[in-house]
Amino acid sequence: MARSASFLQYMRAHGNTPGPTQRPILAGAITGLVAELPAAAMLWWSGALASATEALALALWLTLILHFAAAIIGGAIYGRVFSRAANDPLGGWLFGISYGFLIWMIGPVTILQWSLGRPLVVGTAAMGVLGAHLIYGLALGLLFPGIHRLLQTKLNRLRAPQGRGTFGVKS
Amino acid sequence: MAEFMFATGIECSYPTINGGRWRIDQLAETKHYENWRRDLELVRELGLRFLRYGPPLHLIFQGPGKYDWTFMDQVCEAMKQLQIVPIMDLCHFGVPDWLENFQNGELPQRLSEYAGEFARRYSWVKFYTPVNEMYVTTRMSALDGVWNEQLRSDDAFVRATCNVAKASVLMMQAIERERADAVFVNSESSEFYQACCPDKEIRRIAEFENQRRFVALDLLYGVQMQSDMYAYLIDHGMTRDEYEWFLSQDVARRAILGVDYYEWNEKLINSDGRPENLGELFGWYVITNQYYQRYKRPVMHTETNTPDANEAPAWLWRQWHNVQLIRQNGVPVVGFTWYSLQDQVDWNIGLSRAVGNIFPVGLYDLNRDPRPVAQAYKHLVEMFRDEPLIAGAEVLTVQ
Repeated sequence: MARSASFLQYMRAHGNTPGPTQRPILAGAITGLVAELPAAAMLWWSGALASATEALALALWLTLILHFAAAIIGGAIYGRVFSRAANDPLGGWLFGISYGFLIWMIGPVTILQWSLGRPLVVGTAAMGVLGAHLIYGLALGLLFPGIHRLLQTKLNRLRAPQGRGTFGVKS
Repeated sequence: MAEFMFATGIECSYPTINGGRWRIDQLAETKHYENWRRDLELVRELGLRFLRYGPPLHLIFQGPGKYDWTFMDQVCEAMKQLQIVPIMDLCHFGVPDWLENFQNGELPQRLSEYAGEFARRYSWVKFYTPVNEMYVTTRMSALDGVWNEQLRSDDAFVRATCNVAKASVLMMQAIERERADAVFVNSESSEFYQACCPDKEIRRIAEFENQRRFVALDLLYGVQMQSDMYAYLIDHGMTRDEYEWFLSQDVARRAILGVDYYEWNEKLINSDGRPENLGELFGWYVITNQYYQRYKRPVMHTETNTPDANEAPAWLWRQWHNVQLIRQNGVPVVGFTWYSLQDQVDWNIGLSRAVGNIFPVGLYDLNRDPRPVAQAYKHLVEMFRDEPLIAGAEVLTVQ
């Protein structure tokens, strides 16, 4: 908890709060959806999609939908947590690929393995799962700044700021 | 028509550290060299016209009579296209390698040559800051041992102070020869020292520091200083002839006193006799009034910001209300500045090391995405765009 608090303090000290024109959660969700396309292709190509479908005892289309949903939510969380840092067109790829690796560690390696009582997939398919998450993260990091920029409103289209620290605004 | 000068600035400090082996260049750190056109456009998007801009002296002035104007030619052309009115900041905490540092007696003459060349080449530029924050420059370089010569002695401080004050005078004269209606914004950091206790020695230190903060401006404007401060200067290397020379100059006619203010400008002299940051005790109004009463010049709030990006809009409005009140009470304030346009790098450690810490004080972050204070400032400028200017401020007419 203390570590979490100091991490948040660190982010705040660096002014990580989104600016008035930014839409990091929406940008993250859309980017997550786009980044899932190459990741899903990797899952399909490596046979991981079929293996995971079998392991989870679901229909193929349902597995795919769940993975797309997770990718969208993952993208939204990425946008909210990294916010301004995710906007860096030069460094974003590093945040992204690290995030992809983190999701792989938490999802397929830890949670799914724990809930199934065995590895989700093995062999080439296991490499495919790792590869898909790294591709997802890389695409997320690379594409986020551009997609976010498209979504941002112009400063001159915003209404007068409201709330704390906005003296002089008529109520 | 003269207008109230709402401004921002591009952070451009370029001191050296590590015995001159490493130069900190804020224009590079903040990616201005890559994004200069976008940065200028952002100024206009904010509804601003006035921009404190520091050309990279260390890159332009390459030797006696040797200049590389390539970068500035492009920037100035874009400024004209965008109708930006620059306040050109000609020396900002550093000098080119070949001029070494602020101990160099050759400095005033060389900087004067540079200023004259600059004014000749960009004859449409009307507003200049010859040497930015002379007190901070000399204190950090020659008394606190952080930048440039990195010395820690009163002798070095006095020599650096005489050099930068003389450089300012000569630069103003050189610019005036090229453009007689030039206006000078002499930006200085507002400082104040409060004694922690009635101890005689502590009070003496506070009083001494409260006099020393004025030394460079006193020399620049030819203001007679207190006898103890005069004795301090003479004891540490200034000659009587030098002092007389400063008193005989007259450069204040077209000068605006720029007063910068941050929450660390007010200091407490603690029981050990050392300064500690006090936070905002009296505020810009009180400290600026002390400077105004001494120099009786039109005033501009030339720098402010706060490192807490979320609190920045509140700080902005507090500073603005200080400006409003002091104007109501008769002090002719002609402009206001949020400094800087974009975040800065390593200013949280006073540029003492090149670490790469982002200091989130900008209207925009380093990706050029606006912070909440950008929205607040844009709104403030829209509200007070027609703020009446002081009587007699016609010298501020832009063209």
